[in-house]
Amino acid sequence: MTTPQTQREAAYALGATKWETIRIAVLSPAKPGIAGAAILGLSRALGETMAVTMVIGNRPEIAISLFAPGHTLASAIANEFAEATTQIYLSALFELGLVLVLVTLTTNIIARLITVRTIRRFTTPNP
Amino acid sequence: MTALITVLPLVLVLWHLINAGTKALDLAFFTQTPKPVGEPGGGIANAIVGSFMIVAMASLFGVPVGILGAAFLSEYAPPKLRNIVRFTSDTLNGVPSIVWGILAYALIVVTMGRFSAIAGAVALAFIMIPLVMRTTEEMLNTVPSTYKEAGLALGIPKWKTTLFITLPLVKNGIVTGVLLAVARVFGETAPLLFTAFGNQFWNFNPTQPTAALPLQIFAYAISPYEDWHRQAWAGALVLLVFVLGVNVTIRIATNQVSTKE
Repeated sequence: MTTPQTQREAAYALGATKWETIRIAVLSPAKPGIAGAAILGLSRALGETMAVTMVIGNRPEIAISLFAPGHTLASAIANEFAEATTQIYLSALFELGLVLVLVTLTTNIIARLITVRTIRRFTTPNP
Repeated sequence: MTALITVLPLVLVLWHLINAGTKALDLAFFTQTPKPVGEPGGGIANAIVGSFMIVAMASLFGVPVGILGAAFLSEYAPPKLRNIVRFTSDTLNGVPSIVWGILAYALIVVTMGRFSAIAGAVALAFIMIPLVMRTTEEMLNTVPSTYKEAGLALGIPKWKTTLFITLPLVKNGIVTGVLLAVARVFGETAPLLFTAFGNQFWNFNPTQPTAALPLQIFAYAISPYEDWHRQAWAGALVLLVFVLGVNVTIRIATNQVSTKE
């Protein structure tokens, strides 16, 4: 969306078809932005709790098969928090929360940096 | 083609929910509290009321902070601070909701010694603040500086100019942002799991464990009872209709406003 209209028109003027214009003038300059958006989506999915908890099966082991029950960071917290009776159990779950925050923060910051740079490239005129 | 792929999940979800949800949907569903296992009937009225109660309290905590924070950012803050806060609130926006849940647990449930609607509301308020702040700030930035200067030229103090001239100018945009944030947190389950905790009975006391619609759906959906599954579908249908309703209303309202201008 931030791709300038002039770019599109330039591609058309060079005789590009509709699809070629999209590929050359719209998609490829926006590549970092699209990557950033994908990473943002990834970090959103990493922290998703309820939808995962309901279907993953909540078994505390690393399953070899993708079809066996397992755990995610968020589902482990959601599932075991209510039964965490000892201090060390609670602390362990808090630590899972810390790891989760660090992972999502890192992916988020990377994504923001990428998208901000892309937007800046389009808004400041190139020399 | 791609448009079809995007629309398809929504249509499928709606279709399936209506199919499965309407079976348990009757008057009792909206007026009664849950019945014990095995007894047919009963409803989730307490969860619906509890949800509204928690979200109302969350708005009470979160919306003023968000709006005033945005006013500070766009009117007072030096550019450097503004960038820092903007970046921080964007990243806060991406923090998983379950993390807000354990934060509210550590802050409020532990100090109070029991689960409560207040703790749930605080967790949801944490989610609302960055959302409200960003939309409000973007709205405030669209106000032409001539309006603010006109206010200042009349000798009105800056804080009064901000509160009574700038903010009312973008009232509609702010209301939209707040409603979007409300629709977002209304469906949140994870932060309420160990803050509001859920309750099978009526409760109007904000310092007691309170039922919420998403919590009730979760509890019913993972239960082994066929009857509760039906109620979970119906609850999900009610939740979806409410959230979709708010979103569609906002869409229509903003369209009307923008065509009027």
